[in-house]
Amino acid sequence: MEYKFLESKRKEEFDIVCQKHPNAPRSFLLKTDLLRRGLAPTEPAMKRLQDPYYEHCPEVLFQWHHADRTTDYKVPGPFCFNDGTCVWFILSPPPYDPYTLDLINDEFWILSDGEPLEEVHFFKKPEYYDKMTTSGVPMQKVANLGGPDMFYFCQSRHCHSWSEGLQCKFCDMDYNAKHQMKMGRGFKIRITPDEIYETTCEALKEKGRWRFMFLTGGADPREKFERELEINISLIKAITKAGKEILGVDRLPLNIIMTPLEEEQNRRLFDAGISGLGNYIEVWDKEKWKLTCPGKEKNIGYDKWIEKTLKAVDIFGKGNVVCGFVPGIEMAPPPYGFTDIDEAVNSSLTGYDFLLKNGVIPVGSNWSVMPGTEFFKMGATPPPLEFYAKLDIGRYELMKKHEIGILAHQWYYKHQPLAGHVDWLRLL
Amino acid sequence: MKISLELKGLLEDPESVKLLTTTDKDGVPHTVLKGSLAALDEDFLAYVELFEGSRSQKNMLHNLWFKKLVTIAVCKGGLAYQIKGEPYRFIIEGALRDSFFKEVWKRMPEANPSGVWLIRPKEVIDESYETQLKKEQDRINYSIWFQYLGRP
Ligand code: SF4
Repeated sequence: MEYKFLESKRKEEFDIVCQKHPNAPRSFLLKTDLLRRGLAPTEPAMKRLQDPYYEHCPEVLFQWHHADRTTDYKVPGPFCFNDGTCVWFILSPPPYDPYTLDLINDEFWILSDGEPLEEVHFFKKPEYYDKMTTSGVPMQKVANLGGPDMFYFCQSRHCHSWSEGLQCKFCDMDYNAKHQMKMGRGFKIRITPDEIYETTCEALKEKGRWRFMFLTGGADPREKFERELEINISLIKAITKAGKEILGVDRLPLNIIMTPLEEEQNRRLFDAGISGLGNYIEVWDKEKWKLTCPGKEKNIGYDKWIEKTLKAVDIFGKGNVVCGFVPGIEMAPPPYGFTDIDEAVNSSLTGYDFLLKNGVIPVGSNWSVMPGTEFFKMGATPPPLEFYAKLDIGRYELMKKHEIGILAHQWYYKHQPLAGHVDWLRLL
Repeated sequence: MKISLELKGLLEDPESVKLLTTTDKDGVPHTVLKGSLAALDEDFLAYVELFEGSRSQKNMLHNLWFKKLVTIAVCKGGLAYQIKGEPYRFIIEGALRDSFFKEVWKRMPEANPSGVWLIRPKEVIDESYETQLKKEQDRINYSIWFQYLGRP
């Protein structure tokens, strides 16, 4: 029977999937469903969340919500369950049949049809968040909290694929930048080495809090990505300099998500201070990839993408190169996705298996159908919860098969509130 | 179930021995020494888990998810307690995590602890020799039936 998201009932679907997978910790499935269906916070919960103790998401990079956020209320980014599972705060409109965030005895809880499912905890605002760079940029717009012990930088909120209308069909990058500016929340499109240096210095002064950071942003294919690489290297050097000055270390636990590069370019990234590399292919099926990521197809091509990603292991080492996916787009509207759950799951698992065999770890953030994306315009809706359960369990089995010696510990459960595969690693 | 002042003091004593027993999915117990174990207040015990991949960590998660109790034993000299408790929360961020980590880093600056576990006591058993002895002696006809004859 064809799955119709908008006609499916949250509680019924969740209970069925939990029953089908009794060995899957319920919190993993709940996280996945929270990312898929999103949240509808009550007024008292939202009011409590305005407390300046809490981190409020600066909404740089992607919006993640299923509808444009136009309210004045500030919303947080990541939060966690009692077992430490981290989840991203995604707002959803009523047709998504979202979960409720409410207060019970003054504590935050996730509820489903009035039934309290999980107590949740929001993170404290990093100490650097309210400080300003010398150039007058709020530091929270330079480095954003991504999890309890990690922050990330978005070096550019503009991707060149958008200029040509070749953006990936699930991506809202340029739309989000414009939306945030329209709402008076935007600040900068690009950040400078000085801004990133000053912000990293301030962040690292909060000693004992951090253990992972990454750099990402829009792609710039000009001069074979050399321009983008040069800018990134200047930013990496600024971050590394801050690490040296504040902590006395030569290298920080720094990852970058970028287009696959030539060997010599990767070497420069490594030498500048990058220890983990992410080349995000997004979807494994070649034909669907060409349709979904036309910019990537034009500037690199599917086979080259994989070839270069595998080659990067020679420089960064096994387990330090990750290949990112957008779990869920395997079931985007045809011809972009499959209609059959098993076909969709197996397509990705084939890719994961191949990558793991070659020392590359499949990672990524679950698909969020965001306004401004091509998929959103097509009226796409999230895939069934069963799809994610099968995919994450399948990936967990593959990780077991390929042994823990190549785990991507850079992307662990505290660093990825937007996907479930990291949580399964806790069981390995 | 409240944590008494005596038990709190025993947990704070650096000479106390503190053990944690968890169980895996097959019910197999696993016992480890937990030096950082302390009473947070009357309602919660807390300790630092040093490793993400330790057997205790996996068992604690399993015991949290599937609502299984864990056991803590603490003793020094004639004083001893056993606490049956439920894993309540794994804290990965915030003031409590910071203060526990700070203590760890004083002794082990190279450590990268994974987080702080909170355990809610459900039952506290006084295992002190004197208390147990008294219990035993309260049994009917203890002096008749429970004495080893001819003990040295
Ligand atoms: S490469 Fe694709 S996913 Fe990345 S920013 Fe550009 S359009 Fe978005």
